[in-house]
Amino acid sequence: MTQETEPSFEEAYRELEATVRRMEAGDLTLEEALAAYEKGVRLARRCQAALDEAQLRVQQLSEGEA
Amino acid sequence: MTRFLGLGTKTWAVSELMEYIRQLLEDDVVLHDVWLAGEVSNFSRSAPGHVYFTLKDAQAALGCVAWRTVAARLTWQPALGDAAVAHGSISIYGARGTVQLYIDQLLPAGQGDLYAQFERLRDRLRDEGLFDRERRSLPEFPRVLGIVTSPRAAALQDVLRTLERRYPLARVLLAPAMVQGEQAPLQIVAALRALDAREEVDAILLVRGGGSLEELWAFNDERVARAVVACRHPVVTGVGHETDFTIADFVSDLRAPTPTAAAELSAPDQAEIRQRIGAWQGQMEWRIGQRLVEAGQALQRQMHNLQLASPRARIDARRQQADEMILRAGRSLFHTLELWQAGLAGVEARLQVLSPLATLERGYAIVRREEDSAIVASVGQVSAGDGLRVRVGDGEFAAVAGPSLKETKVAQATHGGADDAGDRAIV
Repeated sequence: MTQETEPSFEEAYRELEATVRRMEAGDLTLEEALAAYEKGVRLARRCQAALDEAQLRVQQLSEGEA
Repeated sequence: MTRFLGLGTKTWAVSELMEYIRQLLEDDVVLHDVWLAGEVSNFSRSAPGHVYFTLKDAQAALGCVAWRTVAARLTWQPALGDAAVAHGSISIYGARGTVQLYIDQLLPAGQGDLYAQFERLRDRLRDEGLFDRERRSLPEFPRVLGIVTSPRAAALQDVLRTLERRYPLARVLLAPAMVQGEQAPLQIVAALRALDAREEVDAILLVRGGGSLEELWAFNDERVARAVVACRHPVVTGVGHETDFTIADFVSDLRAPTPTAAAELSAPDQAEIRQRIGAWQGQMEWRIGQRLVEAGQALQRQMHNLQLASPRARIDARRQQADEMILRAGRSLFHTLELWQAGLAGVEARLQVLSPLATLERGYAIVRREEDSAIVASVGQVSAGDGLRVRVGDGEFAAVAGPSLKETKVAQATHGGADDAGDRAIV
């Protein structure tokens, strides 16, 4: 279900943000930086894919609920 | 005083005085913002669309003007004798020298009561501190947005279209409610509660399109206001147009000027998100590129260092050392040989001195028996006819022994004397 992409988008976005920040801090070893870069690219793709695939879902509460 | 013109007084032109009075009136704070209740008379509409009428009570009457743009917005057309409430500012109409109310709002007297109610409720809730309460903040990435509005309203379509465009990741829960009429406040309250009861809801949008004061009245209801305040999830209001302020707007966590704006304020824009992600990708690529270049340079430095530290270099150095040592050893050996040679020459010289050859050169001879090379030192060693070898100073020759002469004295003399050795050679 697409519902899973909802939390995963934000998680991926936040993780991407943190990864970029870690790379910017510049205190990574080359291996760590490469790993961070690969992870960042993966996360960025995941975020973009989530946006590409997203479709607004609208659900109306039933009479009893509202 | 009035007889002495020119002493502190002046004679005004009519228009000049009118302008002065206008300034006075327009500068007055009270006259700038007047609610005036009265009975409508002389209502007329001019060709360009301006509206003129008079508001009066038992003792007085005041001319009122609604310019075309205001008149077009008026939702109520008063009839002669209607009780009305008008809002506007006081100024003077110079051409006739009449004071007038220039209105921006005209309501039937009952609605004038609505305004009064609105203001009373607003003041009461404000005094209660509801307007100053701490606002709940909206999540940056809402997963579920609740919407309270009429399912048939254009406002809902505006909100959905905006969310679809900006942030289609969101899920929308619509809690339908009538947004005008007597039942509206209770339905809105119920819808707010239903959405707020759901754990997954991140924010609630309470929206309605534009309308008259009466049509928006449900949003000035105290129950609605308190329901908004009671929500644990943040509530965003977008009611009417930019200029409309409702009580719900005052108490909500975020007031948007329109339903569309409410949707915009509730969700991030994917265009911005994509842009940010793209910028991050560029940043990361630049960083890693930089790191790789640095690493390449470091590698080159290390390779250089490695070459310096390499065992090959040490081997080469040792090899050179060895070569030098060999060279040195060779040289020293040669030197030793020279020394030895010099030593040998000395020994030779001394040997020369000691050698029997020197004695032979002085005329002595060494006689050996042919058969066994034994040196003949006694007559008894030789028999006549024995082959002999005689060694003299410059060589050797063969001889044959004759008979023994037994001249022992001579032989003894040979041993004792040093001068006449030649004579005593045994031939």
